[in-house]
Amino acid sequence: MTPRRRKGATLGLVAVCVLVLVVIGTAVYFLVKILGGGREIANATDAGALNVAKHIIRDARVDTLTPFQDCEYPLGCNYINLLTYNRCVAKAIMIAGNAANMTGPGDYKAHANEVVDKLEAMGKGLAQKIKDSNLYFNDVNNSVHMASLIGIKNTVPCNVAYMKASGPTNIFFSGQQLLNGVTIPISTTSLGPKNQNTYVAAGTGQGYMAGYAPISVMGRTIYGVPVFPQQNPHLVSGFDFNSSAKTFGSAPPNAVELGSQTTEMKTNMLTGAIACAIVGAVENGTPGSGGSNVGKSLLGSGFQFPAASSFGYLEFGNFPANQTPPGYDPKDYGDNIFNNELMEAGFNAFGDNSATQNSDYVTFSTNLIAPALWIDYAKGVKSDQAKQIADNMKKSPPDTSDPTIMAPPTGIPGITYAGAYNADLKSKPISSSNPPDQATIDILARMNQSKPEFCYADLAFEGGLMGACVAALPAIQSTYSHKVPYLNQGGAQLFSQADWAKATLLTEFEGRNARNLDRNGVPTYNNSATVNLTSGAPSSGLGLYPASLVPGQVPSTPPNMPTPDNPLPLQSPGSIKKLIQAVQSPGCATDTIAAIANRCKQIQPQTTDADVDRLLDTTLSMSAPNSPKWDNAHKMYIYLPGGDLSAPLIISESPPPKLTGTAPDGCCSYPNTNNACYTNTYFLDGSIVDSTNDQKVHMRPYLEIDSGNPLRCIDHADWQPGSGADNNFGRMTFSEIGLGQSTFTHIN
Amino acid sequence: MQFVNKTIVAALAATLTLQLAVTAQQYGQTKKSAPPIPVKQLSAPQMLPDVPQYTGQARFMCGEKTDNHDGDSIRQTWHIREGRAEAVGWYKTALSNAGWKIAVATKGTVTGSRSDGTIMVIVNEIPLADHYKSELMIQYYKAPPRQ
Repeated sequence: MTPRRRKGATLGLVAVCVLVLVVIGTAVYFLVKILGGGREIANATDAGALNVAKHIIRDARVDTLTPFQDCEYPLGCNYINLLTYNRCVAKAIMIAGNAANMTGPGDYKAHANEVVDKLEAMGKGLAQKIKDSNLYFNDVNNSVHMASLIGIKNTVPCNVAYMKASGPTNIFFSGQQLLNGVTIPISTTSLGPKNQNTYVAAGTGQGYMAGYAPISVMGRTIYGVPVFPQQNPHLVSGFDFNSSAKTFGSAPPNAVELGSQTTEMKTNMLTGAIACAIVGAVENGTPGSGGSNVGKSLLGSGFQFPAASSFGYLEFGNFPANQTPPGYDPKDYGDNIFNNELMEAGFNAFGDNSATQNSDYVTFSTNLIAPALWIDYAKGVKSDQAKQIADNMKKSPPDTSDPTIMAPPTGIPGITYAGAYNADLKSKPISSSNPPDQATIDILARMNQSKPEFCYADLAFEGGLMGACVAALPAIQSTYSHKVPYLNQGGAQLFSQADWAKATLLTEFEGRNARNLDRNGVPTYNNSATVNLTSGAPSSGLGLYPASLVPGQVPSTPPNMPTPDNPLPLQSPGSIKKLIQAVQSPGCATDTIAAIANRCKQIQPQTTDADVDRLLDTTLSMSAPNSPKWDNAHKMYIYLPGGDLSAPLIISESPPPKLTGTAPDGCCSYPNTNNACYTNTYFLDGSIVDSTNDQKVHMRPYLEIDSGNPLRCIDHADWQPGSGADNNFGRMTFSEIGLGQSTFTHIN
Repeated sequence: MQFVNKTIVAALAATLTLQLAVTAQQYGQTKKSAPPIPVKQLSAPQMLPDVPQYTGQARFMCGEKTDNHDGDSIRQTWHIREGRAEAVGWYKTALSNAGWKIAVATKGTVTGSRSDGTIMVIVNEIPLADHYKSELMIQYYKAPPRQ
């Protein structure tokens, strides 16, 4: 038996141990490699998912649909993304809210529904773009050397989720933009809108609108998307992601899930990871870094926006004026003969012809009894003289001396004139202290004593002068140096219907009547005038009566407005606000101006009531005479130049950028007969037309007014709201419609 | 030659001056007018003893009196509650009963006369701010007595 050697046993043990260690080490090595590679894959997948979340907020885009062009950022980019989608939501809410609050006929609800439909179409399109945004996953460096030298890849569209319901969108409203029945859910996030008072009128701003929260307007439910302004995109848990699959209308998702895969090079098995991330509207860059030159100082990188329809506009139009009646002269006609001597009720005349209107010699006076007394005297003188001559001729030799004139009677009142029908007799007044000479006695004695003519009575009740008054009119004018009214070249003022009616009457008063000829065939005065507002002139624009007489709404019976104390045109150009107040009652005007202010705030949320007052303080005169329609109106527009939210609203004759030229979609097209608030009727006879003391005449130019169909004006300040579906938020039309026909007689 | 030119210029200047003078004179003539008849405004209604006083509710609006020593020429304007036809009918009867000879009566006017005067009544049924129904104008004239 060979004894065991004790040498060499340890070596084997060592070898085995080494072998075991090698095996274990190798195993550990591969185990570490496998485990480390998984982590590497997971991290790379997280990075890829975050990159997708970062990109989808800006780079998932759909083409902008009308009327959402003013929701783009930058303006003119022609796309809508998650950052600007909520602007579209806000605009759609305002349009639908406007439509919900409008009444009467019109397409406003159909148009608002179309706008919401387009919003939903963009939302669906954006959702698909977000799903297809997995390409951004592969943009990052996805090397995973521990697991695979070929790196990880994503080859399938993103899964999406609608996370954080009621989380903040990047939109906030001014409380003054919203109409009745429109309530915006506010997110309870701890971060409120940054520097809010630079975006909206101070103190009016709300918190961020909540996303994925229902907003019911006009029977439609609209959702915004939480995009978490002032926060970064970040990873979210798969559990949370998977429990947020519920959709909210057509609102696009705000979270993505992406998976990665690669072939593990040791095991040659497919491996990979899944990551979920949610968007965040990061405030990065400097103001204007969103790539826009518009709103540099306000919108910045576009991480948050005020609700606005910055391409919206309001229209104001004042219809064309009426023509000035040809020959109208605004001057004082108080010195005319009808307003002076022929106004005297005692005025009477005699003529020497049996047809007294054809008399060559006439006698007249303002005194009722004087001419007859002087004619009596003259005839007596002539009779005595004839007797004297006859007696003298009987003498031998005959007495050929001139006969004597009997002493004139005393106590004949007033001044009388006698002479040729067209002579200026002012140098030959006849009175008790200045008795007539022989030549005048001869004329007086020729008068047809049986036909006295009472001139004032003729004018008042016979349709004009008659008999001896007709014959004597030239001498009457020359002697008293007072003419009948006469026309001059006229003017070219812009007249309203009321001004036209007044000027027409005065033109008749100052004019010549071709049917009323004197003995030489020359047209004389108009003893009557007819003014027809229904057919005489087309509807006109609107102005303001003197504020001292009519400070607000024109009363149904306006105060007396004689010219030239109140020169024509009585209606002078007025501001938009004053024109509204001249037509609408105080309550209606307040409502109308509030509606305009609300629309202004929807266009530019920085707008205050004081700003609206300043805008409406702009004068809007009538346009030059033309046919009465909107196309010919003098138009002004309230809008934001270029849609720039950093600028204030302006009012300008230059059209706004998105002017359609069509009327707003609300009720009702001009003339609006649906709303009594927008019209005002007032009467003209005796106050505006044929005013007391018009042209300085006593009483009126014409004394009698026959107004079976009285002259009246229906003034319009028609507010036609627009939903804003085509950016037209409303139109105000100013016009004046004249009606009626009155006849005025008895020139004064 | 120079002398001839000076003569022509002088003649032209004289003609122009003469023409301007004539034009100015014509203008002056067309603008020339006598002073208006003096009229005194009445601050209160003036009762006319020989004119019947309207028995309906009447509101005095204005009045004026011509002051040219050719008699009393007074105009007064009232607002009344009655319509045109009713007021005209009333005056037609009342003036006739008061001794006036009704010369003319139309649907809106009545005129009466006497040996020493005339009266004219015009009724306009127009919208009035004080919601009265008609405007009544009375033009009264009485010749001065022979001295």
